[in-house]
Amino acid sequence: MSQIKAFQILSKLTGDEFSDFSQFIASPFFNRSKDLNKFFSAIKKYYPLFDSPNLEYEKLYKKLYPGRKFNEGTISNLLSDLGSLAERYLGYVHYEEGFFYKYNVLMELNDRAFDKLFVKSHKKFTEENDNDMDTTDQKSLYSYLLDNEMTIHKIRTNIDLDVSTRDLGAESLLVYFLVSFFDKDYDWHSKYYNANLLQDYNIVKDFFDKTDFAGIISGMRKNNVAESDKVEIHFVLHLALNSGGDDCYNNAVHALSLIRSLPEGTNVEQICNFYVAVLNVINYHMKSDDRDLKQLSFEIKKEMVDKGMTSERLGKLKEIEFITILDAAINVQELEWAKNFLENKIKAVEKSLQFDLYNFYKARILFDEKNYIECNEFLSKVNNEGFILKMDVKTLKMRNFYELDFIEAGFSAADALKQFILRTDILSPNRKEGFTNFVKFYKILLKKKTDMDKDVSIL
Amino acid sequence: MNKIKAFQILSTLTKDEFAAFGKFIISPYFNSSKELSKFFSVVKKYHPLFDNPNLDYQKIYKKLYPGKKFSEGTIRNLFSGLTALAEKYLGYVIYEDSSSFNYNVLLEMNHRDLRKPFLKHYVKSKNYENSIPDDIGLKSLYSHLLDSELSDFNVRRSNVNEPEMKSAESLLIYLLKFFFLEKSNFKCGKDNFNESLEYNIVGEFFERTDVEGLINIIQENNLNVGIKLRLEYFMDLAHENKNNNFLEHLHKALEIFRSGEFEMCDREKFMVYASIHNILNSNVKSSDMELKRFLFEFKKEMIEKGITSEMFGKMTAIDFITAIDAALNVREIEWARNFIESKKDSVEDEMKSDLYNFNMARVLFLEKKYEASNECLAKVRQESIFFKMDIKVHRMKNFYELNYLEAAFAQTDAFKQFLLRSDIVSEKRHKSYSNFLKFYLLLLKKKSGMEIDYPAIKKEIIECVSIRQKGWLASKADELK
Repeated sequence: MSQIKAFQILSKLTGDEFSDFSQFIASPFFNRSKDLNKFFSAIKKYYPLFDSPNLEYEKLYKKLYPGRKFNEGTISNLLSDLGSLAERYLGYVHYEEGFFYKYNVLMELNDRAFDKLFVKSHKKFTEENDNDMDTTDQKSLYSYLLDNEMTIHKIRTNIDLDVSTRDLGAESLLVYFLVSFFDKDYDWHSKYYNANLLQDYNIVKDFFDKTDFAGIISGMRKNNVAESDKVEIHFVLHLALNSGGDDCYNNAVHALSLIRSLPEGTNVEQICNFYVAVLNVINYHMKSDDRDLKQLSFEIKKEMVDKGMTSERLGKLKEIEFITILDAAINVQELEWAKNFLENKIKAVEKSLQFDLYNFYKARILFDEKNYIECNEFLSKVNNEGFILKMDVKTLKMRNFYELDFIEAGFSAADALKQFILRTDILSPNRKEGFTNFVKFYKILLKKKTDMDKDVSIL
Repeated sequence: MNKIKAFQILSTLTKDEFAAFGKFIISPYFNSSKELSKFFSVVKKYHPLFDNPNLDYQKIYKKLYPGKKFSEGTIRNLFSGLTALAEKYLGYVIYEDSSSFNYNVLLEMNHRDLRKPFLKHYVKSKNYENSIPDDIGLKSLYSHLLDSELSDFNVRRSNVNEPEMKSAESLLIYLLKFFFLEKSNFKCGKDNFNESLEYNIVGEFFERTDVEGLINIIQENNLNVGIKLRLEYFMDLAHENKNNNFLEHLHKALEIFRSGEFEMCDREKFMVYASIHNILNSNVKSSDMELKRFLFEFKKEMIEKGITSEMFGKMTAIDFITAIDAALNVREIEWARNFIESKKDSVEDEMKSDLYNFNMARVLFLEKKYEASNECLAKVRQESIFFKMDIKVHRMKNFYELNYLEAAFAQTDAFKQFLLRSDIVSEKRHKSYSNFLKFYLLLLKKKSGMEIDYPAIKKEIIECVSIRQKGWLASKADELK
């Protein structure tokens, strides 16, 4: 049954949405078919799974038309109509809460020359947009659309255009455009450039090549264009992304200082997104021996934790965030801070993950403190099945064996890991390569330790 | 009754829209009040005028609640409920036929991870966008939003095989089109009203961007759109009169426009015609009869092909006036008269009478029917500052031709006072009217027997850059020689 579009869509509705859909289907504005209403009444009790045997065509037909000869086409048609209505409903489910409802009302008021009401609604919607929690790009796009509608209104109501009429919209549109292009550039770097995907046509890169956008943004800042402070942050991050070494570091620090100087009252979500964006750029460039970037990455994460800007503000602390914060601290040997964070924040992550995460990171910290036996004890508590750090548990255990001179155990673990890597298909090619290399060099070091024939200079 | 907001809104609905509103109000999704549905069924028969005496509060109440004591508050509440629903309906009236509907459906499918329906709906929505007229009317912008959604979808599903650049291209195209239009509007504002901005973000963008280079790249990958952008680019260069190559750039633009190498919808054609008209207008000099003739023929071509603002409902006042300007500038008086008569009902009802009388007065003036011209001018309401000033100027010209010297002097003084008092006229317009007044007064003095230095005045008129009715003043100066 899950192949049926109607059920696929309906099963994705929340309980409230599903009862809202019952009103939707009963509304003559959307549906005049009594048969469809009857059909929906017959199937709605099987929400959300829609996997009951009672949903077989013949059974449904019998329920709807008792005593009549089964006709598959009738049920197919009803399901198809229900699918279309369910699809239509998706266009309505959040429509009135969203921007486009307001925008459509404004357009109609404008078209129908309700000028007073138009001006009043325009003012209200503009204020709502200004105070909204949307990101810079969305806000600017909506602002542009609202301004554009005002221009149409002014043109219609007054043949004597003034310059302020024409000025509306261009600034918002350019802000939207630049932020979108900076985002696209980041996407390209993170997803395609890394994968060595070359392309003939990259309009984003072409645009940046052919535009003095630094000059444009500087002009926007000087003239206090709305949201230009945020555009500047995107711009500096773009510079960091497209540079390496010291330049990357300096631009990341500059971006950070701009984020810190955002005015009070700036949307917290947006600030968090900026922090994450700086971290992403740092990760993009960070090499294992880059102490400065590692230190900066840790400082940012620490600042986010101190300011309550982690995912915990939305409920639970995300597992991946918990992991990256601890990794950053351990990478720069901030072991005391890591210990405190682990103790204080372990309860903030999803309950089912707490035990494994706690034991693994306890082990990691102990390893850096050279408490290898204790480290192994904590590692042995980790339930490897389905654990996101399964591979890291194995390698950490191997490192313990090495440090403890448990040579045999080291070789066995290395062979086991090698087999595992060969068998598994859950690792991405990059990670697979990383772990394979780890095993290769680990064994060389182990052999050397046992005075076997390898010359470590090749490492 | 037409002061009631609910009726104001409902009276603007077409028959079909009103019928849909009938379904809207009985739909539990939008309205759960049976009282309101009943109330609507009582008032709906009076659509669209809603001016029937039966719409009296007491009569409605009696019909809804027979035998019960009248309560004005109940009726007021019902009207208020009806207004709220009518207002709400405005957000739904064209929603399903709009790009925003497709976009919202796609957004929800993506958020709910409905993979197959998402991909199917994406294709359907893109086809819809491709089928609607392409102009500055948001097509590229919606295309960009749809493509961005697809990009998010692919990223979430790790479906990334090749870099997604379509959404970026759509957005850049939209930005360029909008900015070309904005730039042209700024130029018109600058030319006509001497307006300028301390900070002009559009100008700055063009100064700092290799627009031609970007268009070349777009054209290599998207021929149809690239050619259209190139057309806009040449129009822009012509408008700017870049390197004094106005005509060369204009002809390049026209060559592309008339080549038929690409598809163009009516709205796009209208926008191009309107832009070329603006460009010609910006560059035409009062003595350049050849270009004036070119401008008129171009405007005539637009009207004959039906490519005017009338295509989208009513003809705009600007479209109406500029057609007459173009005709009268080359003394196509008969054409102008026919145009006014045949198109007078095409403009907004509110402006119909003023536009007719004002422009007919201009025609009558050129036909030397000065009394009749003044009669037409007297019928024009004077609320618009620009109508107001031009009415005065034309009346003064009529007085002059009729030898009503006393009336002319009085009108001159009144106009002078008006200009001194008025602060809503731009500097450039103020100057051009002041210069008109200055020379008009001198000519009037000469006509009433006073001595003036004719050669000096004629020279000054010819050399004056900012002046209304320059041609007429110069010809009158010649007559008085």
